[in-house]
Amino acid sequence: MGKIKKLFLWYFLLNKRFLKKVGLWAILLIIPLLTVALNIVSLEDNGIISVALAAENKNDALVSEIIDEIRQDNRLMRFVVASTPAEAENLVKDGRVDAAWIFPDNLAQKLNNFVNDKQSVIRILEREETVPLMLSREKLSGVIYKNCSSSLYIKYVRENALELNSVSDERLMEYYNDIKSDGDLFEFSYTNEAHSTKDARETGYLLTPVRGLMAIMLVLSGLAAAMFYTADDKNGTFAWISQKAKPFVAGAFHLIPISITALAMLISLYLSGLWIGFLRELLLAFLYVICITVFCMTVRLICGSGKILGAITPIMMLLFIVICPVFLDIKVLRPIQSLFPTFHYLSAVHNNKFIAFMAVYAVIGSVVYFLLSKILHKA
Amino acid sequence: MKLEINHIKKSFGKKQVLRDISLTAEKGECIGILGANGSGKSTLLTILAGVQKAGGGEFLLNGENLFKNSSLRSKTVGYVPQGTPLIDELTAYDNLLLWYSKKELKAELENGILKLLGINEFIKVPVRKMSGGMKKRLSIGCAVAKKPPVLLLDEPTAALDIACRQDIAEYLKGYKAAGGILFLTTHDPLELELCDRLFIIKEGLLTPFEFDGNLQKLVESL
Amino acid sequence: MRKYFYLQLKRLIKILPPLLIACLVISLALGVFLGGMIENDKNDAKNQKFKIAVVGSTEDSYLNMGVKALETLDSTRFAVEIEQTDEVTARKNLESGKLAAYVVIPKGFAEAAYRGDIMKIKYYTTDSAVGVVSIFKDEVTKTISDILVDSQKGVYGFGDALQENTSISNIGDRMTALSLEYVSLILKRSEIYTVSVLGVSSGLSTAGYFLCGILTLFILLLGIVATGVFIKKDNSLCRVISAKGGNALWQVASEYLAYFLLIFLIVSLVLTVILGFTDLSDVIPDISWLVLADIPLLLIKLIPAVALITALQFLLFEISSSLVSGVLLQFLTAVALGYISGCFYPIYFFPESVQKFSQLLPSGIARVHISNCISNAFDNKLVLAGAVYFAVIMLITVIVRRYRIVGKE
Repeated sequence: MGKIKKLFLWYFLLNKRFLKKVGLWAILLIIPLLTVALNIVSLEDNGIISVALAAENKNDALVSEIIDEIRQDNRLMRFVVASTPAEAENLVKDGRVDAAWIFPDNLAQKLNNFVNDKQSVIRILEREETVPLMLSREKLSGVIYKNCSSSLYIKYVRENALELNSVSDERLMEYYNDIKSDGDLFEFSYTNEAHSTKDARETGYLLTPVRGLMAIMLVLSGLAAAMFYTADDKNGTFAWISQKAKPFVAGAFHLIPISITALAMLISLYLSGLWIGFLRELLLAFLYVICITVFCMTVRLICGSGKILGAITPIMMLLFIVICPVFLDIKVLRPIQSLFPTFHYLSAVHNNKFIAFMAVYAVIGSVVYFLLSKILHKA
Repeated sequence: MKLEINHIKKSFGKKQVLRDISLTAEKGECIGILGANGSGKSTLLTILAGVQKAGGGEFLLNGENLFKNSSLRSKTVGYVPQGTPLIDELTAYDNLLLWYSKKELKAELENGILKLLGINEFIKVPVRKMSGGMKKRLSIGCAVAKKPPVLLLDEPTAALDIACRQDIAEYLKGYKAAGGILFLTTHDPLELELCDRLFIIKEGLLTPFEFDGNLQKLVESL
Repeated sequence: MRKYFYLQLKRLIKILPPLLIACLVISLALGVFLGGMIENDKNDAKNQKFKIAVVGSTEDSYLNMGVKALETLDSTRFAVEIEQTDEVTARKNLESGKLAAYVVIPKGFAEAAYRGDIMKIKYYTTDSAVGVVSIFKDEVTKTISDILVDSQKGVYGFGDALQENTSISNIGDRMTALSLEYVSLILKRSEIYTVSVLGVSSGLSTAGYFLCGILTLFILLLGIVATGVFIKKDNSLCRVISAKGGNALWQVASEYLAYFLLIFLIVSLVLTVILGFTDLSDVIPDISWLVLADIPLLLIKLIPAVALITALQFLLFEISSSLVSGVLLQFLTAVALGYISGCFYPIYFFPESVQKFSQLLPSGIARVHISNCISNAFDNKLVLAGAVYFAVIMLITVIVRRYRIVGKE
């Protein structure tokens, strides 16, 4: 019982010690700050691309209706209404918007005519042709299509269904509008079937790197712990600990700040809306903390000195940001990604296979660490 | 040559560290300043060195107020602080170049102060690879570059082995014999022997102290 | 204090080899990142950006035909490559990164559709979004849903109208004929607009923007490699120099100048190699005007940006007391400033308020200045703002140094 009490006492003291470190507080504070800031920012009007909307005739009712519809429910595109087509064009030329969509006068008639003659109706001006702009035009297509669809329907009936000549256009449109359909044809999912479509759908693009960034912060806290440990070891703090016990003491030393940071991460995930369930988050966090601990301890052993560790830390962090799918998923780097625990963590969020990989990583990493410590006669 | 310190004061916020520090020193004298940790010994030396400004008082050398004449002060006062005032990545030679011209450096290494300090044994060694004794000797070598008549040393032999301490003590004796005035803060009995007069700083005031070798008495006075 | 400056330079030259190695690693990592960002955004019919697999489309000939039509006739064929495959292969390819997503058309979809029931199509992706495909999935799939729903209204509305008002027996065939008209309309939907590409006459192309962002990030990160050298644990040397007449301003000026020259040298080396000896003008058209002879002038123009960022880094060295806190501070500052200043995501991704805020940051000013240099524009007001910022930062640094000199041990 005495030994357990002592263990708890050491755990408490180490926690207290780390919580006095300004460096650790900087990491702990930045996590929720980042989440809160991005949450606030994502609520504002933002977009990956910006499009100016302009009408040749501002009084055209259909154009106004279409512009209003386009501007509704936008998470990816920012729309700006220009007062004239010339203004919209200038906005594109000046680089203040990526594209301009210019609607002609008498749009309803022109859309009707399109069904027959396929003559283009809307002018689009772009600075450069990019994939996001190509995909954004699908939004325009979707909104315009409704009008074309009803025009085609009426036209086809009048030309090909003479039996329906006695039926008025209004009545035909009633048949059209009476067809109710659930608009959601697609159901989103991840390869791990446990997750609902809600998870797959609702993350705004600004919030998407948040989990990755927080996972990287955990690595940073681990490397900071490694630097603290190296400094303490040099100062003789662990001189009284036996060689056999040293790896475990080292493990505990690293585990504590990483766990504290993991707790901050979990709280932030919950508040950010990226939470995927209590048990799953806890399991992933637990495994990830072990993987990071083992990883950072091994890096510390290999580096040897505090200065080298200090020099390597930012490079390592950069490699994590680039190689792991935080901002981008660079697929050609797949073979290297497996070496980084963050890759497995981020992949495990929606794929159970990677949970097993994290467990294997922790085991192999521990073995590598113990072997290395024996070879280098260090802990 | 006469050195006078008159009524020096210093406060940090509401705390008055030095209240009224006055003493005089003559050529060839070594003044020892003792005191408990945090009593203001190092503060006094930094004021005399010109690192900090005094809250009042004068520092006269042959009647000239060194507080008002920084260029004279920098020529006449050498300062060896407690830490390592050296550039880690560079060699002893490079560090000395900050204070000596190449010609002076060559002369001193061949037959001058730097030879006396034994610096030519490690002249090409980078500071980060030096022992504590080497670093201290190098620091002193830097401080005495322009042969200042006054040398301020803050615990010069702290954390050094006995042999190093003796070497440095020997050098300082020679410095004194050549007519220099030494001010040093110390806890070390070897250094106490070097001092002609001792003072204790306590509660911001300087009190003369006679050391008869009784360390217990010294401790009680601090 | 010339001697002090000279010794600072000498000291930095001694540690240049390990610094260069660290810089090389950072350059490579950022180069890969830049390549990934440009690739993500590139539009090139030869390099179709993303692949989507369709599973279950072969069960019905019309469905199969529809998918084939999408593959060959639809306007999205320039951005999306569609392949038909089985679910096991699709899942495997999705997890290995060969696919951006796959859709599973459930069994009986076609029959249900004929009856007017639309079954849900499952859309599988890997993870919360990294990359354009995942980000746009909502928009594109909503559009597809809307288009199909509107088409359905036409076809089934027609069917209902025939049912109620006629006694013909081949309603199904007539509906099918209308369906084909709708398919034709869907495939020709992109003809409703004409696209004119005006070109990038002012400002940068997207690739050019990314280049400037990554370059800013590179300079921000360089501060970290020098942290071990500039963090002062012992203020003794500062005090001794101060005692000898070298005040805080002189000390900071000498050390900063040496640091600035080091960083400028590294930036110059990297840029000369990238811009002078590699031909990236196909990928980044904004640098097509640059030849080797233009690079020295470009480097001189970049001085304000490098000076501003290095001043900030130097201030951070000055306020850090230990290696660990120094490294953490440099790294967190670099990443945070880089993020808000539009080095990871283009700045126009963020709301106006963030864009305006970013312009007030030294990293934001530096990034815009670098962009101006690359696009051959020059904004004097921006340079002046940067100069004011620089002066303020250096003033704070001098004050901190003064505090270190006179402060208690």
